[in-house]
Amino acid sequence: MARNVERNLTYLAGAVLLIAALGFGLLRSEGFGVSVAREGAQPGVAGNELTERYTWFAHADSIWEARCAGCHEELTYIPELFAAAGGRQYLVDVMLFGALGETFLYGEMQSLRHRPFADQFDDEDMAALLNLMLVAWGNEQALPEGTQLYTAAEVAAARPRDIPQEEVLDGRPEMGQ
Amino acid sequence: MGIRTVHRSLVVAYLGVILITLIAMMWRPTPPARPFLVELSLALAFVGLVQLALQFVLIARFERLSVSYGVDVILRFHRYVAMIALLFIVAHPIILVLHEPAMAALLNPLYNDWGVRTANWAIYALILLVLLSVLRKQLRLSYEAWRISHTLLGVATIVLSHVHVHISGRYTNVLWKELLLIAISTVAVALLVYVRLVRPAQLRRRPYLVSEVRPERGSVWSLALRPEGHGGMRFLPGQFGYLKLGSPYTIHEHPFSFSSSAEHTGQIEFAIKELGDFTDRIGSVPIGTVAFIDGPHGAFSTDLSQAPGYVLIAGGVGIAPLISMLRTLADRGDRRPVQLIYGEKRWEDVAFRDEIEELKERLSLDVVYTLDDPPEGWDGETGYVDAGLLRRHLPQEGFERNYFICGPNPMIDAVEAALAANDVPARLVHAERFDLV
Repeated sequence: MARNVERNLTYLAGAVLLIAALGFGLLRSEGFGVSVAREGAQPGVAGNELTERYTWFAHADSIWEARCAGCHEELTYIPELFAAAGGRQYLVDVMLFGALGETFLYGEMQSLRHRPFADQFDDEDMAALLNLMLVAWGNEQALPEGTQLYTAAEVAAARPRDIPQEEVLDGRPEMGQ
Repeated sequence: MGIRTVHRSLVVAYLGVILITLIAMMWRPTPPARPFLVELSLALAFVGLVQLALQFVLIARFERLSVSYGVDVILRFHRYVAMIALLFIVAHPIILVLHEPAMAALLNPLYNDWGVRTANWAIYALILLVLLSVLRKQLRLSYEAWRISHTLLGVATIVLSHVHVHISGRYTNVLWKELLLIAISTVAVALLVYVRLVRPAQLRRRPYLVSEVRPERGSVWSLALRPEGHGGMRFLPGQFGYLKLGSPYTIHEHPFSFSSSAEHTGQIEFAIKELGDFTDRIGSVPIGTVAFIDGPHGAFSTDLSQAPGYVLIAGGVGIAPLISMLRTLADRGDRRPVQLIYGEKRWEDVAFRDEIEELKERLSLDVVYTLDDPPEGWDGETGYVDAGLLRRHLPQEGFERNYFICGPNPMIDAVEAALAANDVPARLVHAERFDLV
């Protein structure tokens, strides 16, 4: 066996893997955004058709379990927040841009921190998650009459707002708490 | 399958598992594209994570890996490639911070987000694991303490990394992708369980009893074991086994070369020099002690490298696998020419020298001794095995022998260089190193 075979193997593996990582980074970067496999039917929110609700709800629920449930319990205050003036937009902003600062909650000043998820979820997933929060945990019964669910287009339209995390709480509606 | 084909297959399999993981992450549905540096940092982290999982495969003592490359080569690859994995994983947060300096706040291990927190802990566990391995001797950490810490930190790194990926990962946006990553790591950790629990359970059915503890010259002991209730073990001359005394589950297991003839399965012997905590007690092991052998392992064998003749070069107790080769050749009546170059400090420390003289009668054997501290009147070689000594003694003939070197690492490095200086092709040279941790 050749001398230093393990060193040569290490160099070979390191070089191949570095090239692969560079290739992945390039192909997946903005401007390329290459994905493998053909684009198929994606679960998501198509308009406000509640007939498709099962599909998006199951999808959002799996995301919630994997990504949100670690920090959040049941968010039963969402209908009140949503129904308040500016609440609909505020929920989108928190999801996209996060929130950082202090706000008056439940009768006292409290620190509030939420991670931005703009680059974590695409518009479809984001809309599905927002809608999950609207209808899950019995929230649906507390929603105002004629509530329209979020759409992917609505999320897409909000992205350019690009509000700094520290300013998102400025848009939090007053709820008489 | 030829040995080179096996080499290629194993390298392709190693790289294949990692590359398939990257391709899977590119499979639809994929998250929105982000800047190149961010995507690169994610790719490096995925590569590093799968590499960490594969580290467990490398140490699982698979016979195919062991015989193909040699355990010392596999373990050194394990050690070197860990550095690559560490670099890739540490590069993940560093690149993110370079891209967006505000993300430096995420490097706080107490950051109020479990996704970030577990990532930090995983990286610190990995750094600690590598530091303890690199600095074990300087820290005077015992082998057993190091091994326990190595196992715990390795598993912790893998588990914490998966928690981080589960909470923060954007590419594991569908269940099958997350399951793929988890499956790779689960198999890896299962192999650890196999090595530490299943394999010892199998060994328990094949016990040995210590039948003789014989002093040799140079503080070397021959430890003889007889199989108890089974037919013993077939090994190749030059291979080694992990010796466990008392229980197959003991953490006190140490690799030693078989020194007996591979033709004698009824009694297996190890030649062990008093060098450390465990080996210092070999001479006092009671006859009848129950022992277990995890083996055979290794590719350092004349049987795996057939040649018209051999040159065996030993430094000190490095004679152990080489005396096994000589004894085996003698038992087989093999008259192929063999040269033994044997370096030791003093003449009275030359283990097995009487037997080597006797073996000359049964083999076509030429022996060259070289001593660091020769006795008065010594007219043989002195000093280390160097290019000059080899030039004076290496046989000049029309065929290519194979060269087997065993001894301390500096001696092996020096002899390899000296052989190269004497135009011996690297493909003919085999070395066994045991200073692995």
